[in-house]
Amino acid sequence: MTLTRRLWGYIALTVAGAALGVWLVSLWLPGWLVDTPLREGSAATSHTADGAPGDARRISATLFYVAPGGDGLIAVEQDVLYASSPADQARRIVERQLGAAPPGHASAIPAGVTLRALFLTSRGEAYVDVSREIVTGHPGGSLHEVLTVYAIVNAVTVNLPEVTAVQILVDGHEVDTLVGHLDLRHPLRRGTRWVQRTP
Amino acid sequence: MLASATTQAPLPYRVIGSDGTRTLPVVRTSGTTDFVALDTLARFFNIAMREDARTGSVALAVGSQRVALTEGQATVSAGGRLVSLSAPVTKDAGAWLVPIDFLRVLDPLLDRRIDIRRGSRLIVMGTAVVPKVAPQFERTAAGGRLVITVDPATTSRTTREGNIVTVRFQADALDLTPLASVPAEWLSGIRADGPALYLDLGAGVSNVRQADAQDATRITLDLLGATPTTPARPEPVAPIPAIDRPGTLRTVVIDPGHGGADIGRRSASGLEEKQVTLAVAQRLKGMLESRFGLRVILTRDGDTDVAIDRRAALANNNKADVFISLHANGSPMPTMRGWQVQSLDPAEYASSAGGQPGSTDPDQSVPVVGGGMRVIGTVPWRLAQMPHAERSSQFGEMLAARLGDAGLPSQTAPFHRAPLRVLVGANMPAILVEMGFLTNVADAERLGSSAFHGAVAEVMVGVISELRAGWPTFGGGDR
Repeated sequence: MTLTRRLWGYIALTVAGAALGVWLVSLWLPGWLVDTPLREGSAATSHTADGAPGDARRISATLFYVAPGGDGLIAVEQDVLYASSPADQARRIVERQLGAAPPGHASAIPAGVTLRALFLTSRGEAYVDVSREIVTGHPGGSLHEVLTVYAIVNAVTVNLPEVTAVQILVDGHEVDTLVGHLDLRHPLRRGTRWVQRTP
Repeated sequence: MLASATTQAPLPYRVIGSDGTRTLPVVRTSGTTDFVALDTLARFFNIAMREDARTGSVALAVGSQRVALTEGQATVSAGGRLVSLSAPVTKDAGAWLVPIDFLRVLDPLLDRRIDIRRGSRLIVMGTAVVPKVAPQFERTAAGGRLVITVDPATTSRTTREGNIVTVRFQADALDLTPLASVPAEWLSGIRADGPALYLDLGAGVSNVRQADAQDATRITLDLLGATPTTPARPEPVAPIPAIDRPGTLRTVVIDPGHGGADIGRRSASGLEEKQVTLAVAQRLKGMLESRFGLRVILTRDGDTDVAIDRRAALANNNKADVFISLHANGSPMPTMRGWQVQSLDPAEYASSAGGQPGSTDPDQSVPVVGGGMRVIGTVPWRLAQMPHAERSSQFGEMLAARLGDAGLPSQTAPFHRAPLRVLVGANMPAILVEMGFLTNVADAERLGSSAFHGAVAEVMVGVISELRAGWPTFGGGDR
C-alpha cells in the first residue's frame, strides 16, 4: 500500500516537472528566436506566417509618408502580411514602408531602397539594414533626411511596442548620417513630433 | 594616344615678411605634401645645421633650442617635445627633405608667426599683413557688381584711372583668390601686385560706383553699363548695432556646411548649398571681426571637404564660445520654404549619458609638464554637447525670434531639436541654421543674393551682440 502511494507520488512529481519544463520553453523560446538575425531567403524567414505557405493573413499597420505641406510625416493605415514572430513582422512592415507610397501620398524614402536584413535584440532595439540607394538616391537637406529616417524608425516602433529604438545600417555598415545631418550612430527612439495629425 | 612624359616642376612658395618677399623652392610634391630642402630653410632662418651620418639624423640649433630630425621618421624632437609632421623626413641625393609643415615646428622656436597658405603658395611671416582677397562677380539690373571680401579686415583706397581701377590696401601683399569666369565686357582682367589690386574694366563699363567704402571687410563695386536700363535699387542696409561693449564671448566658430565633393543641395539654377554656406560664413566672419574684434574661425575657408568630427573639433580646440553651423535645406515639395534654427535633442542621448544630460566621465589624473599630476574632468566626445543643450536651445530660440523680427520667412516650426551629428561633439552652445530651401524658386533666388546673405548675417551679429552682454539667466547647464 505504502509502495503504491509512493509510486503515485513519483508519477505526479514527474508530470508536474514536465509541465513546468514545457511552460518555460514556451515562455523563453520566442525570445531566443527574436535575437536571431533574419536575412532574406534564410531558413528563419521561410517559416513565417505560421509555417503555412501562401498564408495571406494581414494586419493593419501604421506607416508614414510625407505630409501634404512637406514639413512633416502623416500616419497612414496600410495592410501588411501577418508574420508570427516580431522580427518577421518588423521585416514585412519595413518592406512595405520602403515600397511605393499609396495613391495620393509621397514616400520620404528614395526609390529603389531595399531591405537587406533586420534583426531585433533582447534590449528592444531593431537594426534595419537597407541598401545604399537610401544615400545615393537621397535628394539631401536636413528636413528630408529627418523625414526619411523617422519614417523607418516610426514604422517599426509604432507597430511593434516591444521595439523601443531603431538603428539604420546601410549596406551592412553603421553610418554617421545619411546626407550629413542626422546622427545615425546609435538607435533612435520613436519620433512622433515629426508626425502631423491628419485633419 | 601617347602619354605625355613631361613633368611639371612643383610651384615654389612666396615667403612674405615685413622685410620683403623671397622664394622658397619646392623640391618635390607627394600627394598633397610639398617637400622643401632643409638646408634651404636653414639658410632662410640663419640656423646652424649639423648632420650625423652614423645615426642617420640631423640637428638644427635654433637659438638655445635644438631640433633633431631622423631619416624616415614623421616626428621630430623640438626643444624637448615631440612634434608630428604630415610626412616622414627623407633624404634625396644627399639632401635632407622635410614636409612644408615643418615650418610650424620652427614657429614657436623662432618666436615669430609662420602662416602657411598652401592653396595660394604663400608663407606669411612675422608681422607681415597679407589679407585674403576674394572677388565675386554677379549680374545686376544696371550691369554687374564686384564684391571683394577681405579677410582679415584691412583698410583700402579705391581709385580709377582710365579703364583701370586700383584698390590699394594697407598691407604688405595680397592673397588673391582667382575669380571665376566674368564676361569680358565687364572685367577683362584682375591681378595683384604687392598691396595693390588692379581691375581691368571691360568695354561695357561706363561708370564705377563704390557702395560700402567704410567696410574694411568688403568692397562692393557697381560696374554700370553704358546704357543702364533701370537704376539698380539700393539694397536696404540695416543699421549697425550701436554696441561695442566688451563681453565674455570672445571666440565664434562658424561652420559652412558641406564643401568639396559634398555639395549639399543644388537649386534648379545650379546654386550649390556649399557655396551659399561659405558666402554667408565669410560675410558673418567679416562683420563680427570688424564690429566687435571677435576671434572668428571658419571650419573651412574654401571649397574643401571637412570631416564632420573635425568641424566640432576645431571649435573645441579653439575654445570657442559658440558654434554656428550653416546649411540650406531641400525638399521634394517645391512649395517648402523658409529658414529654421535647430539645436541638439539631448533626449536621444540620455541613455548614453546614463540618463543624465550633462554627465561626464569621472575625473582623471594626468601628468603635467614639469612634473606632478593634475585632476581634470573629461568630457566624452559623443556627449560633449550635453551640458550645453539647454543654452544651445536658448541661443537657437533667440536667433529664431530675431530672424522672425527681421521679416525673413520661416518654416512652420521656426525652431526645433534633433539628433544632429555636427553638433553632438561641440563643447559649447551650438546651433544649426537652415537658411532656406534651394528647392523653392523664391528661396533659391534669395539664397544666391548678396543682400540676403547680409540680412541673415546682420541678424546673427545682433544675437551675438546680445550674448556678449551675458547669457540670459536660466536653469540649465553652464560653461
